[in-house]
Amino acid sequence: MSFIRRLGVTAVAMAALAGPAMAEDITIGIRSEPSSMDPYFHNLGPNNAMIGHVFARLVDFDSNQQLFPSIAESYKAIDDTTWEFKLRQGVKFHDGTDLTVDDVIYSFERADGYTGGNSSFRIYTKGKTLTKIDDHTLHISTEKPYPLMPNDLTTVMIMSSEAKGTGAPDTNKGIEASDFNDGTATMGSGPYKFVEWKKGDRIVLEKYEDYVGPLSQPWDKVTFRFIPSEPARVAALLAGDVDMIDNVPTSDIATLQKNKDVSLSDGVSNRVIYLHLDQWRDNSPFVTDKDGNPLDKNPLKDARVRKAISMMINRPAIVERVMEGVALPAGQLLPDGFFGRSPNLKPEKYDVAGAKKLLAEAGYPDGFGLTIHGPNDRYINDAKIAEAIGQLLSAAGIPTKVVTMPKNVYFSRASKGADGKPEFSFVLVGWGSGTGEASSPLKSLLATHDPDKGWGASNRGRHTDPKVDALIGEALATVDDAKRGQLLAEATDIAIGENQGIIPLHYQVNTWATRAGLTYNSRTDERTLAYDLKPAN
Amino acid sequence: MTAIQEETVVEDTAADRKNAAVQTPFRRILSDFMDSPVAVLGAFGVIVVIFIAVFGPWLAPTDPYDLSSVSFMDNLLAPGETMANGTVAWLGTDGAGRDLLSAMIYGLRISLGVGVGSGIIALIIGCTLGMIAAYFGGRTDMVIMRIVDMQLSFPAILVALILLAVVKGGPNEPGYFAVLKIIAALVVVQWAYYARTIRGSALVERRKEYVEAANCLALSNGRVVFRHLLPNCIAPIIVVGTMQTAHAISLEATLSFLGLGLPQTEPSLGKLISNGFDYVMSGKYWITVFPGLALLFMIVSINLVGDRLRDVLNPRLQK
Repeated sequence: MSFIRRLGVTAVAMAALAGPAMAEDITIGIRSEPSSMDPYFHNLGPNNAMIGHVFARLVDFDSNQQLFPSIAESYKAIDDTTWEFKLRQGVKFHDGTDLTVDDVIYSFERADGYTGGNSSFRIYTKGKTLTKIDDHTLHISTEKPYPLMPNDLTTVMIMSSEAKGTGAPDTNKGIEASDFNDGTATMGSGPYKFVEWKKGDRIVLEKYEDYVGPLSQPWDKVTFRFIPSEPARVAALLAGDVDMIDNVPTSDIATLQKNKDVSLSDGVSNRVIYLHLDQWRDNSPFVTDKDGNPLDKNPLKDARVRKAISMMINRPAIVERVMEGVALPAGQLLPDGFFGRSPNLKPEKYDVAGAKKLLAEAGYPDGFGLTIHGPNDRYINDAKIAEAIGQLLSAAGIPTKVVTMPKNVYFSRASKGADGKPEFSFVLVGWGSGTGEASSPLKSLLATHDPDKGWGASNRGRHTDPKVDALIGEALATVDDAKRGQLLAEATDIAIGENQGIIPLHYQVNTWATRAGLTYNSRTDERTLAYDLKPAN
Repeated sequence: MTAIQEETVVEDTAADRKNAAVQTPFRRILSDFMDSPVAVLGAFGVIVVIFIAVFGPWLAPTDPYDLSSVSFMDNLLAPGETMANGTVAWLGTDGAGRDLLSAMIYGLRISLGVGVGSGIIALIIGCTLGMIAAYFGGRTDMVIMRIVDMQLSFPAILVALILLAVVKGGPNEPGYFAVLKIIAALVVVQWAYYARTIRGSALVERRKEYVEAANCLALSNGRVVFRHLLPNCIAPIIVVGTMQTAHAISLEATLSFLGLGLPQTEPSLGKLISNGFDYVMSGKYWITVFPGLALLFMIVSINLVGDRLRDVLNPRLQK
């Protein structure tokens, strides 16, 4: 009896030991399907995460957005304006060709010149001159000192210049986004090869046996299934259809925590959820008097009004009730621990009486009417947050209508309405810092909107302040880290603390759930990566 | 002997009934209707639903559409818990802190209003076109009925989804615009049923003597169609109307569930169910279950009444 039982235990132990040697397949249920497998089609979280399995980068981020060299073996600044990158020896694309500096230059050109996509990567490639020294040595120079060079390079994925149509005169190089989606041009040098993409259903990846680089390859075959419905994703995990899910709905976290077959991992992300307010139109379409009639001037242009709105928002209550505790109240662009934060800015205190006083000072003692627009399938509980803000403002004397819509309609209207200008007056959005420090959100959200310069690209409220622009410009050219951090903090102090250019709400906390026996290393950049999912020890 | 006698008796009562029916058709229909206890139950349900819909604002403990009085601090309370303002949420609260009972009463108003409103408009359009088709015949008939066939060959939900996706409001679209859009979509998918039904019965009636008589008197076409033909074709329309109302309500709920339709802050029953769907895995059953039951109750009641009306009004099914 006891012998038989012991035999059983041994068999199980042997099976467990044999595990890693056998083919290991994994299925991951993710909320958002990428919009393309083309690395430069769309600068979007789900795309950058998925495509990063197939296409490696020169420099990459670890789970805390700390830099590590990936295709580059090492990199250093050789003088004030030039960086040197040494590529790893023996890196091959999935079709067996060698990866050389030529491919890197080709990729940069395509990222910079590609016009067919939804959003451009040009803000990361602009003003950089690439020079080939030899097959494995690259110099990148800028006019002014540019300390964020390695951070910028984490956004550029390296593709093979020989995959298709090399040498074509146009910047799109004869490659269409569809060539990436069916696998023709999906030739990277990353740890996983592209197998197939069934639209609306799954993307299948396979281990690349000749991978050279620092990323691990714990699985032989990875299947990403797209399950946008929140309860369905949880149900798929509980039923064992998938081994891991991302974006665990906040309402299910408590139940899953009690479940022994599931293990959760969570972490604060680099994403701040915030409000943009129209600061440029004199007649803003969604700011009205209390009966819905147009106003003769736009109250949101007054910083006191913006501060009053900020004071009407009960951030701890939203975090506790709407986010069910899974978020952190925000007072600026990035949570604790990130580079370039201001030490002075705390989340605005909930103070309706004070807000009303400010409104009266600004000439609106009786308030006015407002409509908040937000997505309903992009951020964690986004529609519920918009509704909570509608409730808070309405109760505090600014009757607010709430309109939410799917992200594919919402973002194009919020950035470019019918006339090419932001269509809404008061919008709920989020921003994750792609570079892991404060210059990215400052440059995109609070710098003066200037398409030629690539600044203010997502500045939907059109906040503008020459002092802020000057500080950001100076910071980007400052090599000394301490000094740069200080300049960024100062810019944040003015843009948010004084000008109330945006109203930060909270920092998102992301949660992943795996079946017992696996562990996922939560990431601040919110990416769901198969190579960060490991068997638990 | 006795058998013959009995037959005579039976004939007599049948004749009596017929006489009674000729005198007061309404009473005949009512008494036939009352013969089925299930239908009476359904009728009772319909009356309750209409009562709630009409007097909703006075019945509901709170106003769920007034954003300044709803607080997310009350969200996800279980049935029977007390909200911050002292009101007891007998059916719990939803994710935004609305009292579910109040939200259901208001949602039921929207659902019923949209269902009945779109039904009436579709009925008017459908009946007019159907009568015209039947009365004039020929090419007119062909054109109208081919359009009807085309319309009926598309699934209703698909047509409604396309319409709602295509029709966009301007920047300052008023709140009721969303409701009008839904009603318009439901009218488009429903009118064909009415047109086809009334054409069928009008074709039969058209060949009857009284129509000929009216034509001989040189009455105008409009008068013949609407004063003579229409009243005699009304019975099947009542049946189709009842069934279609139930259908429209469930279609509206489906559209709202899919996220097309009414605003986030003014949920109909379908939207409430869809909101609650986010919580099904977390054990907060009440957010979906109660609105779902209310929808079920309403649709089953209307269908029971419709079924019985079909039996009662169909001359071929009469004893």
